[in-house]
Amino acid sequence: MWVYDKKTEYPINIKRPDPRMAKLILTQYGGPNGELAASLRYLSQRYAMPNKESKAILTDIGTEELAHFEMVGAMVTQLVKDVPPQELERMGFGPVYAIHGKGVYPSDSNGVPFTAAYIESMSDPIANLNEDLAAEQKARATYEFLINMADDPDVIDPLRFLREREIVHYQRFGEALRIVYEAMRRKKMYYKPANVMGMAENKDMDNKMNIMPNPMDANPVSPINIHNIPGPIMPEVKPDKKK
Amino acid sequence: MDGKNELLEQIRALDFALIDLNLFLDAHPSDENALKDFKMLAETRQKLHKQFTEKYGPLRMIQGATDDCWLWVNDPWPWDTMRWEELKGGMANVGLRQENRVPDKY
Amino acid sequence: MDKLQLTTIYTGNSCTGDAIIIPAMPINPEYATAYIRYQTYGKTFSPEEGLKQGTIFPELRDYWVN
Repeated sequence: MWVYDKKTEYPINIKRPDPRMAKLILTQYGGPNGELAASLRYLSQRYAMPNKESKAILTDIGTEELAHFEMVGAMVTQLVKDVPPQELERMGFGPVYAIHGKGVYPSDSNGVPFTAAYIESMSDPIANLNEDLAAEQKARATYEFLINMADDPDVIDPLRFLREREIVHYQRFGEALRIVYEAMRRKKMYYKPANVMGMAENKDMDNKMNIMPNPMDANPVSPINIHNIPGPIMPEVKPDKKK
Repeated sequence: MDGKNELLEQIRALDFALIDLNLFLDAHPSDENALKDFKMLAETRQKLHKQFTEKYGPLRMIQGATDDCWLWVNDPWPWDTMRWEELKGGMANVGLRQENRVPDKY
Repeated sequence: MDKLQLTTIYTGNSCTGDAIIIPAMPINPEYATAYIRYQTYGKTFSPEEGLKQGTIFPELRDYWVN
């Protein structure tokens, strides 16, 4: 469950209203690369993840994205606070004001309402995590586009903070993917059965087919262990005892 | 209200460091140096949180009650902020006055 | 990367069970597999500086100028 801390993750204190930026920043509230999409994606994907580290990473990053969702909403509401309607319309916020007034509504900066079509949640951890990696890069790029259009340090500082968080999240999802590949998915090893059906040894064919020497051999060679690290645990494959 | 903002900013910074370390530890659960730093930051944070709640009111709903009043609902909420009218005095300062206009960007 | 950087992940709860060693980058990378370099713990920014920078880890800091 969730506990609410009555403060934003990064201080949002915008002193100069700017309806133009309010409309643009709205895309990170309810748009395709925005924080609502991110948190719903991660919090939904975590149920089907097979390992505890992935569950933790998705839960904690999903929670942080909710905090970012709050930050973006706070920015939008501060950017239109106390601005007269004529000024709102002059700065491009008119269409939003006509429907929602100065309310903060989850949509992108074109007014397209939020949809779960922006996210995917599968029971395949590799598909999920690769989607998450892509989502973080899209969010990072969107923050760069927004920073390019902003001029107020009170607006740019939180946007820069949010952009850096996306990079850190990318790193964590990358590590989650490494755990899935290296700790969850054991490497498939093909063991050469001893003298199958009386066939002569064919070393060229063995190399081409990536056949491992029989673990019953006296000195098994593992290609991974060149630094003598205690390696990944090999699956229990009992070679056939056919002679 | 003097020390409130300073203390809040200290707690905010500590909470942020804890969040970042939390994400690191999720991917490195047995990293002893990271665990040591996390415990140290968490301890400091607990102390400051207690100080803040006692002096300025609750940051979490679980500390919201006093004997005669539910302080949790109090203003300001995180998105509320001091605005021009509070800084310069009066609603007349916000709006169409020339020096407060948002500069034309197009 | 000068020295071999390793992280240990345990298959069981509370750092028990089998120990899986994850190097910063794999020694024998697979095909059709994406690898992100695994971070190891080093120096961190102070909490205040970290909040300003967006992360407490200097190596994850991406300096972008618009």
